[in-house]
Amino acid sequence: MTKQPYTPRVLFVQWGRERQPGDLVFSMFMAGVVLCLIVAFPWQTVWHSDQHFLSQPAFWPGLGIGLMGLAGLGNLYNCLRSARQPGRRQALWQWLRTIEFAAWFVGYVVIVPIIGYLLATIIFMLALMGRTGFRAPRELGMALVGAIVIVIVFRGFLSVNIPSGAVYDWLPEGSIRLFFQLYL
Amino acid sequence: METLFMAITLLLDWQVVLAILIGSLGGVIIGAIPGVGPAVAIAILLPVTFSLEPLVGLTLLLGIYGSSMYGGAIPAILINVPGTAANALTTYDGYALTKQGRAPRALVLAYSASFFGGVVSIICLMLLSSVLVVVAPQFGAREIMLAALLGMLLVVIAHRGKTLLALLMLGLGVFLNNVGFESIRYTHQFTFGQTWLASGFDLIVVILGLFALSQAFLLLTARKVGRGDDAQNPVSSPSLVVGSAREHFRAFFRHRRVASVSAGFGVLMGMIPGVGEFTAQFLGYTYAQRTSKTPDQFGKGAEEGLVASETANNAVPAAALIPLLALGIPGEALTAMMLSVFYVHGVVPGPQLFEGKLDFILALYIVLLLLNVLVLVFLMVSTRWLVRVIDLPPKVIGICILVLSFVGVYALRNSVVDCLIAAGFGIFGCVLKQLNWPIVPIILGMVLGGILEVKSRAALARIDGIADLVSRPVSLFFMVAIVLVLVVHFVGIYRRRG
Repeated sequence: MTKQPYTPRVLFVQWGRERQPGDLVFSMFMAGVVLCLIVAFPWQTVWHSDQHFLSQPAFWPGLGIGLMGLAGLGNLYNCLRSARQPGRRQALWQWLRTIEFAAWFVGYVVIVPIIGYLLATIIFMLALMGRTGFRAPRELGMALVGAIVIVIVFRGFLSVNIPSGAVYDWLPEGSIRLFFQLYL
Repeated sequence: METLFMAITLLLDWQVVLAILIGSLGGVIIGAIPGVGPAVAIAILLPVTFSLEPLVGLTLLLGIYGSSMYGGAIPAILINVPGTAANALTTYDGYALTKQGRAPRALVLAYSASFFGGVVSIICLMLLSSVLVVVAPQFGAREIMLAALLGMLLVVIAHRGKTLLALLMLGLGVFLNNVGFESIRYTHQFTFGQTWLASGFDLIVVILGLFALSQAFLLLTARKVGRGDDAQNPVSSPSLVVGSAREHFRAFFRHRRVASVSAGFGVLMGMIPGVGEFTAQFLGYTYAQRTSKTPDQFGKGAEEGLVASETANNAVPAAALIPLLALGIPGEALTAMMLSVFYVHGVVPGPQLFEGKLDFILALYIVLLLLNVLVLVFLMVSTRWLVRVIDLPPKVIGICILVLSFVGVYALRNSVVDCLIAAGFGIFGCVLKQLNWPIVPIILGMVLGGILEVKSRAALARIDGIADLVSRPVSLFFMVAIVLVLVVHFVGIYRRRG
């Protein structure tokens, strides 16, 4: 990953709190989340006067929010005090880029019950390989083999609980359809 | 003797044998791939193990947990990239040895040290778990409540320099554990009228999102992820692991003092919830350096440094099982995941397990020993081929993690909502990783927060004030430990600032 050797000193620095690009933005985001939870607390929890406070349903989420609030404020204060690191915009862009791959993942989830695990996995792997720059026939061929192996191992061999594709209903009735529905 | 025979009978099941093989060998391969790590692999495999027998499932996960650190040493030594985070310190002297043309010696030293650490840790597990079993009947609700509280405290304090962030994430974990339907007055909390939130956040979905999906997103969005010093990459050498292995083994035994002390640190740190491999490594390494006749060689290829690092990190996994098996308290994320395997099968770790299922416990011990032997043999034979695995481009690894994560999340209950939640936690985890914020406290907050909640309710019905809370020896011990930990922590902060 890095050409810099891992020395104990470097690792100790990594343990310490160093402000990263985008740290302040995310700290403010977390503080905002905590604020929203505090505002929502009275109407999202129940408090009964006849129970001990530790047995109140609201106590434990309240404790969680309390810890978050306390630590979040302290962290925000530390962040504001430490030197600003350049690269906030790049960091934000990097975070936004993860949404694209999350969308790919969700898309994969959505198409599996429609076109079946095998076809969906093949399409997903080939498309993502292409998207990330691996477009050579050999690389795509490896991805194809990899997709088939994954499907056979998990659905065929380990019988993992994944629903069969709706398209398999179009196959001729009999052993072929059953095979696809059970194993692919 | 009869119990031992029953344990061996359990191990003769073909599924257990297969799990030992897949777990140990798979763990080595996973550990050798930088960017994957045991947490990702265990998170993916966790739902698969639910359909297996408890011993089979746990063997598979333990195999991956224990053997990944063996594998992680390979890229750490050969290309200066630690396979798992716990192998980071191995690069310091391991890679220096490789640059001196002593890669075979470094690898064999690392394997021997790992094996030694693993075996010492298993022996401690056998001895100390049985000691804890004697003490265990004295563990009631209040004692487990205090143990969970101590665990939460240590999780925060162990994140040196990031205690506020760890506290923030721990609070988030406690909060997430309480979203949805609550069982006291049967009301909904923080669901905002959304039915899909009524069942709350499933621990497995959160784990998969935070560990597996976040890692995939991180690898897929990385602008440039190299393999370290490619120009000097010695992996291309076909005769990498040649030479007299016996001679290298003998070299390891010359460092038996360092290895023993480092293994001790590993066991101790493994037993304490939330501390783990990093602290153990640093304690072992610092001890080796301070007691060495050539301290200036550390970082330049000191064999003692490599031995200290690898022994300490491999002594942690089995030791981390001591509080899990004896008390049902997970020390970190990986043992928290394993705890869910116990729960799914209705097996409750703790004193009852040692009383009612001693054959199961013995079988687990034997499995751990077998795993270590198998991995050592496998590595001695196969390293020259294994090192090719680390040549996989990171983006391809990212794609594979995405496809495998789908199996983990979707197979739970075929829920698209679960996948959306996991994707959300994946993005969140990716940002946390980029910012170097701790993730593990979220998981431990969910697990330990749940234990604390249930046990405190049970304890409250039986105690009368603080004095009564600490009126029993074990609860007094935990209370003193909590106070001591807090005092030492704050005194440390005061001294550093002073």
